[in-house]
This record gives sequence, structure tokens and C-alpha cells, in this order.
Amino acid sequence: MNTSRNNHLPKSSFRKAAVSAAIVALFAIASGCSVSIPMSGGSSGGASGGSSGGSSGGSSGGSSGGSSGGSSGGSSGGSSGGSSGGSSGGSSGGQSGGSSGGSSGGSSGGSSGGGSAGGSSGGSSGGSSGGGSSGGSAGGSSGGSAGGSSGGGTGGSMQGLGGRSGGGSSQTGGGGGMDGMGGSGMDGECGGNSLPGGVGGMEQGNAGCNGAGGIGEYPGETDAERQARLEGTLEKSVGDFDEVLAEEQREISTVGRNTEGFGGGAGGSGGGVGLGKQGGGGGGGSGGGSGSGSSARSSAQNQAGSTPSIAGMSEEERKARTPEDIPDLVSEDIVAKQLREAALAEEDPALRDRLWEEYRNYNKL
Amino acid sequence: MNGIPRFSALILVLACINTGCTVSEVISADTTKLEVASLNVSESLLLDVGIINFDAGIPEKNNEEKSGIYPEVREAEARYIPYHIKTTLQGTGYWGAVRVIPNRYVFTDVTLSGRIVRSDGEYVTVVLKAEDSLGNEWFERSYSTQTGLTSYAEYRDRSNDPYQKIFNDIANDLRAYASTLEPKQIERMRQVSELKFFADMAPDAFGEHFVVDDEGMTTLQRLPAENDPMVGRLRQIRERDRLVIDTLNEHYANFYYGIALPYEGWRRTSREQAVAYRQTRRSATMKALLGVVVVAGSMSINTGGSHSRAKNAAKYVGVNRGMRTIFDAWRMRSSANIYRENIKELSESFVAEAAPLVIQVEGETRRLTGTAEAQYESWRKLLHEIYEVETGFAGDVDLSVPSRSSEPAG
Repeated sequence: MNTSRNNHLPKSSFRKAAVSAAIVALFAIASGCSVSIPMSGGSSGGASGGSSGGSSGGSSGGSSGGSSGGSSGGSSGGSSGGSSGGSSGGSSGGQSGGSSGGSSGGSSGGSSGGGSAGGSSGGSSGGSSGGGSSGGSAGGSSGGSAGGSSGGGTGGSMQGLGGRSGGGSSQTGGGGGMDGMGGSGMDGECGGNSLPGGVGGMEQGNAGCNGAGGIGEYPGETDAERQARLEGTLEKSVGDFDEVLAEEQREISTVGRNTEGFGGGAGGSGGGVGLGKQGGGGGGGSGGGSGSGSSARSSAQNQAGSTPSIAGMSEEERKARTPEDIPDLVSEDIVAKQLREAALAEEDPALRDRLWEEYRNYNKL
Repeated sequence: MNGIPRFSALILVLACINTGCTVSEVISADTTKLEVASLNVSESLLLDVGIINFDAGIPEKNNEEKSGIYPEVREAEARYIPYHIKTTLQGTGYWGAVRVIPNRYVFTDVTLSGRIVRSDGEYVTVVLKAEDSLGNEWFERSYSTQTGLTSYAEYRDRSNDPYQKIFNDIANDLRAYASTLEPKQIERMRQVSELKFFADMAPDAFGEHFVVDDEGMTTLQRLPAENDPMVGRLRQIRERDRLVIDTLNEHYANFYYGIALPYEGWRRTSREQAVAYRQTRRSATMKALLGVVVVAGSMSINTGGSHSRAKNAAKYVGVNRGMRTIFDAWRMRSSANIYRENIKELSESFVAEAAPLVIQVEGETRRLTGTAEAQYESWRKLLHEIYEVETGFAGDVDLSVPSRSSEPAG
């Protein structure tokens, strides 16, 4: 009788059981089994968001979680810190109904934005739905602004521009969440509707997953409340976009423009240049002449080799000193040019006429 | 006796050749006075103008050296010219907001589009088309001018472009057409352009307020109520849209001022070289003709009769001189090619300076318009939801495809 085999059998069975349990546990973790903890909707929402994010590999999980501020916190945590981030987002969300989760998530996303695109993109993708994941990874901080602005749109288009407004990411995380709430709901992602403190959100997330309830609707929410919420989202989104544009304009203003020689207040916003008076033969408009004349003087003074008296002359003066029969030649040699400039610069009318006569004779006019 | 006048004529021709007869080119560059509003125009009569970046007008099979059309130069001009039209129109005081727009999906009251036909520093020809928000085509015209010496004078105000005549012509023609419009027509254009924006952002709410027929003509069906909250929201959003375009115009302004001096330098020098090339070839042609005349005249001299030795000498000199003149003319004509080479080198130098600016402004345009489109998309969805709540209607509009998703022209 072989007692060793009998002794080994229990051990192997135990090993098999242990291995099986471990595998099951791993599957459970990987599939993001959620445990509903009736502390607050935010925490569970965060957890569900995180878990759902986890289930989708974390990249788009941020987006699904990010449909609301709280869940964006969880999702950004999830995307930046994996499970730990998700759990922290979830727990903080649990404490304060998800709002702190949102803020912590947003802040973690924002603070880690500089360090890792993933963190900031987590925040940003948290703000946006599905498409935001790609946008978030590409332009994380921009996704923050895009979170509010492009919750339903393509986050990728926000890269670069939104990056400048990274400061707004945490703010727009909420907006993005709100956007995502509509957008992600419309995109049909689960857990995308969890709101800060949203018990209903949690339920909605589940309800959305189960197909019950309207898109973007909160059970128990009246039409007026929903409208107010949507209008608030719109207003916040518009405000966030204003910040984006303001930042853009600040950056543009840092670019120097060489407006030397341009009259009429050139260089100002809106292209405030002169009236477009025609050069040469006096086809100019009546307005803005003083501005153009002074700028012509300043520009001419900067040019080497120009005759000071002519350089200081306005278009009107030049036109007044030029006889009407003197055409604008296609070309002239140095002698003709000097004759013309001498005639223009001459103060004595009689001498000026003689110089113009010489000009005519030389050019056989 | 018959040989004497001919002999005299030959002497005269020889004398003319010796003195280096040239044909001087004298032309008066046309000018146009810009019409400027003397009084403030009522704001209700001001139309907003959008100017699309021009078509560069580059032929499909373009030989740069033969045609003198350098694509990079044209691309830069296609952005420069619309911006200068903008500044010219702004200065007249007859228009509302005048902006350069990336494509015609930016809804404005009046839209200008154009194409560059010719631009070499001396001559410029552009074709411009103007149409309004109702779909009416105001006109499509070709504008040309030839620049003169003073067009590139160093002392002039640089807001007076060397091509300023065509800009003034365009502004005056637009003003002339607009002055024929009744105030109600102007008001209708403004209403329609606003409604088109509303319909683009909230099609379920405003998609049926107007009808566009197959010919692109827009007919207003009804106006929205002024106290409609959706109108207020969309006007807010439209202000942001205008802000986006204004921001874009700041990028265009940076490009405009960045390229102004090198572009003028290119035009001025290109013009000088083109004039020199043309005058050299003309002189060569004249010289060759004279040489032929001298040779022909010399050959026809009758050396018989009295003074035969003198006649023979004159004949010999005439033929010799005529042949030499023809050879000189041929060399002169060949030497004119150096001016075309100079133009080519000049254009390459300008391209090196302009290309980075063009790339930069194109990149900024795409980035900003892409950003804005993404934002508008989220707003469309929000507005759709708000509309559903307000009206109880569940619209079946497909919001996944933005109606202004075409690539910007510039």
C-alpha cells in the first residue's frame, strides 16, 4: 500500500482549491466586481466608476467615470493610479458624496497632469465620454478644459489649446462630468451618470446600464430641475470656453508684430490699420490721413539713404507738389529719380516748376 | 539722285543705332479713391462681412520658371490679400464686423470669396465673388491693376498696399451694391444669417424656420420669438463663435504683419526685374529690326554710276554695321534671361521666409477651428436636451455628425 500517494492527494487538492480561488479572485478584481456600500452614492458611484473604468482597461474607464464631477475624480484616479487611484477617488467620493471625489480626482488629475499625461488625461477623460479617452491621453490638461467643453465631443481636438488652460481642468472636470452626463448617457456607457452626492446617479448609472429610465434623466428629477441643471451645465461650459479663448488671446498678444510703417493705429486688435489709401498717384481716402502721414514720417526716418525732406512729407503734400501731368512711370533711372525728388523737396515754387520741366524733358513727356 | 535720299536715310538709321535708341516706357498707374463714410451709419444697416481665404490660382501643371507662379508665394498671397481687403473695408465705415473666415460655414451676412489670377509685383488680377446670406450673388468681377514706381515708395504709409487700387475698387463696388439694398433687405439678411447659425446649433428648434432651395436661395419661413429662451442661449453661443473668429483673425493679423515687409520686397524687386526683362527684350527687338533695315537698305544701294567708290564704301559699312547690330540684339535678348533668373532666386528666398509663417497660421487655424467644433458639438447635445425638456418633443436629429465638419479652407 502506498501511503505516500494517499498523503499527497489531500495536499494536491488543497493546492488546486487554492489556485482556483486565486484565479477566481483575480477574475473578480479584473472584472471589477462592485460592492455596493450604502454610505453615499458618490462612493459607490466612484467605485462603480472606477471599477467600470477598470473593466474597460482604465483608459475609457476614466471617461465613463468622468461623466460627473465625482466620478471624474474617481476615474482620473483610476486612470492615473490604477486601482489605488480609483479606490481613493471612490473613497473620497464616498465621504462627501462624490464631490470631494470629484475635486480630489480632479486635483489629482490636475496635479499629476504635469507629471504624467495619464493623470491629467484621467481628469480630462473623466470629463469626457468615450472619445475623451483618446483626447485625454493626447492632451491631458487640455482634456480638462475639454472635459467641460467637449464632454460629448472629441477630446483629441482639444490637445494643445486646452493644455494651456490646464488650470481649468479641475473646474471643468465637473463640467465635463455634466457634459458627459448627457453625452455619456447618450453614448450609452455605464456608470457615466453618477453625480456628486448622486444616489440617484449611482442608481442611474446602473439603470442606464440596465436600459431603464430616459437618457440623462434622473429618477425623481422634475423637468424644471433637469432644465435648470442642463442650463447650468451650458452656462458653465460657456464660461470655461471663454477662459480657453482668453488664454488663447493672451498667448497671441505675446507675439510681437512689426507694424513699422503701418499707419492708422496698426497692430491693434481687429486689424485697425489705415483706411487703405492708395499709394503713389493720390487715390487715397479722405479719412485717416493724419495717422498715415505721421507713421509715414516715422517709418521714413528709420530708412537709410532717404532724403529727409521728402521722407517727412505726407501724401497730400507730395500730391500738391506734383503737377497733374506728371505720370507715375513704370520705371525711371537714377537721374529721373533725383530730378523728381529734388522737385518735390524744393520749396521755391518757381524752382520747383523748373525742376519738373527738366523732369519732363529728361523723360520726354 | 534716287540713291541720295536712301543714302541719307541709311545714315540716319546708323546714327540712330549709334546713339542707342531706346524705347522708354511711360505709363500712368491707375488710381481709385476709396469711398469712406462721412457720417456714422446706423448699426441696423451694417452688414457683417466674411472673407474666405483666396484660391491661390495655381495651374494644375505649373512650370514655375515658365509661368513665374511659385506655389508657396501664391499661398502666402492667398492669405495676405483677404486680410488687406478686411482692413480696407473696415476703414470705410460702411460695414459691421469684417473678418477673414476659414470657410463658408461661418455664417455671415455677406461672404466674399476669390481667386488670384495674376500677381507678379507689377500686375495683379484677382476675381472676387460677393454673395449674401440669402444666397443672392451680388457680383463676380475681375480686378486688375499695374503698379507704378511710387507704389513701392519707401516713404509711403504701408497700409497703402502697392495693389491698393484693386482693394479700393472692391470696397467701392461692394458699397455701391449695398447702397441699392432696402433696409428691410438688410434686416432680412441679418435675420437669416443668425437663423442659419441657430439651425446649425439647434436644428430641432430652428431647422424649419427657413428653406434652402436647389439653387441655394434661402427663404425665410418664420422668425423665432424674441422672448424664446433658446434664442437667448444661442445668441450667447454665437458671440463665442464670433470670438473664435476674432481670435483666428488675430492669428491672421500676426501672419499679415509678419509677411508684409518680405512680401513687399519680393513684389518690388520682382517688378523691377520684370520691367528690366521686358525693356531689354524690347530694346533687343528694336535693335534687331533696325539691323535688318540697315542690312536691307545697304544691300539695295546701287553702286553703279557716279560716286561708286563712296557708294560701295557706304554699302560695305551699312551691311557690316547692320549685321553687328543684329548680333548685338541677339546677345541682348539672351542676356535678358538673367532677370528671370533673378526673379526665380528672389522667389525662392521669399518662400524660405514665408513658408514657416504659412505653416504656422495654417496650424493655428486648424487647431482653433477643431477646438471650437468640438465645443460646439457638446453644446449641440446640451441644447438638444434642453429643447426636449422645454418642449417635450424627442427630436430625432442626428447629433453625431456636425454640419460644419468640413475642413477649413485655410
